[in-house]
Amino acid sequence: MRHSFLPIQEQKIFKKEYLYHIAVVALFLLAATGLVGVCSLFPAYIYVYIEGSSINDTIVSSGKDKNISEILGIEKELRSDMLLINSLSESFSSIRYSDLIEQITSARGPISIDSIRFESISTSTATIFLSGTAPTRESLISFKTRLETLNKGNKVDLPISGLAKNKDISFSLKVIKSLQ
Amino acid sequence: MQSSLFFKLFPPPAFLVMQHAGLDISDDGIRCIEYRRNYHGLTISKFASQEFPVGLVENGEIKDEKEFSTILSDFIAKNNLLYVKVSIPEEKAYLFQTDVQSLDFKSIAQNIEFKLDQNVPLSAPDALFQFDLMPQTVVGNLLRASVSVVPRTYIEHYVALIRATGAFPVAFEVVPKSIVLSYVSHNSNSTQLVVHIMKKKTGFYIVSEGVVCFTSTISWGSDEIPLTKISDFSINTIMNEINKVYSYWTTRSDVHSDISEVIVVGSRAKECESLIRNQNSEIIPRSALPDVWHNAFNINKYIPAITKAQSLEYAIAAGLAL
Repeated sequence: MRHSFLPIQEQKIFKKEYLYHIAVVALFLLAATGLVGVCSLFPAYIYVYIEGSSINDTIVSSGKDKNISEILGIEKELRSDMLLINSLSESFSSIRYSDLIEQITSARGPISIDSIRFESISTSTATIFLSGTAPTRESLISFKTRLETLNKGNKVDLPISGLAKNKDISFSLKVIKSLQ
Repeated sequence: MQSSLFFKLFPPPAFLVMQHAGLDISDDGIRCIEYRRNYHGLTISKFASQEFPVGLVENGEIKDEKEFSTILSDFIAKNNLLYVKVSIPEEKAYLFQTDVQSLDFKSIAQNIEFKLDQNVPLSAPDALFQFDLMPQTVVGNLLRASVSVVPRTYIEHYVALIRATGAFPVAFEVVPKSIVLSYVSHNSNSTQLVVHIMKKKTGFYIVSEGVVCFTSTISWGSDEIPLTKISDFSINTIMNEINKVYSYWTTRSDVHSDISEVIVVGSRAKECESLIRNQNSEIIPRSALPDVWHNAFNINKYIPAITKAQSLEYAIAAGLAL
């Protein structure tokens, strides 16, 4: 090249031109490589995009199901809580057995009570069966009277057979106690 | 021109190859050839010629620069030439031979540069030169170099003219070397006398082992050959010059081989070769027309659009385009 009769200045210009051509070809190859890369990755991108969308949809739909199931669970819990609260409130609103027993025992006097059985307790009345032994007929009648006076509306059924004896009378009473 | 299997299988892009055309600018006109490489080798992609008006260029000197530029611009534009390797007329180049130490290329070039002043009427800064080494060593470590020297101003003038046309000169080459490039095998070890016939002049070049060793030009051209009755025409002028050159070469003590044949190229080369052959000279061993495509492609595998007779006029462009 140096000895081709071409002046040095022209040789430099020609070399510059050649380098320019090399740069253009290199850039073209780079661009072509990039294009081939993009083209070859495009199907994979589409596949990944579709898969991603599918997974997202699955996640969203499963999230919705979960919410629904959570809501249903919460509703169920609330319902059971409501029932519990109702039950508890009913318990709190009804009369307590210990109170009734206490009232009866406070009125027993010399009477010994063997058993107390509660039956058909409603919001307004409670039917209580008492059995025991009274030392005298008077004490039994007195006990009956005291029970009737515990609350307004109390009713006491004392069978007449229970008054047949004078002493150590075994009795059975039916008390319809007003809870108002 | 052989190309490696690698480049056959993976040819570089045309944009990077920057394929050049051979542009032969002579006194007679302009000729160009551009090759294109494919899997089978080179093929001719462009060829064209344009004759100059008489007197526009004489002995390599441009007489009317404006007209020359116009013709050159039109020719380059018409044939869409971008990179060109341009011929330098033999009259504008000095040729000498010198012995140099067998060193690296740079050292040999420097060695020759020091000897320029002794051999040509140009100082080193005013000259551009190139050289070819003879394959056979002269004595010991010495090599024989054939050096062509051209005035720098002449080349710079041509560069400016060609650049003004929009083309890009990639190299310059003297006419004898351009002809040698076209047809001489790379491993040739014979010596030939090339007779390059132009319209107004004829060049005689001795080529030994593929290297131009001697040049001379006479003012006799193909215009002097009649168009009819060629067989009756005498070419004494050419024969006398051939004899002189032949005698000069045989008297040189440093030659390795005698001239084995006379090769005729250029304008009306076929007729001239036939005339030379008909002279039955005792000195001239034989005359022949070269295959100017020898180093480009195999004529048996690819037939170019240029005829054999025309190809002899394209010898310079064919060599430059390689």
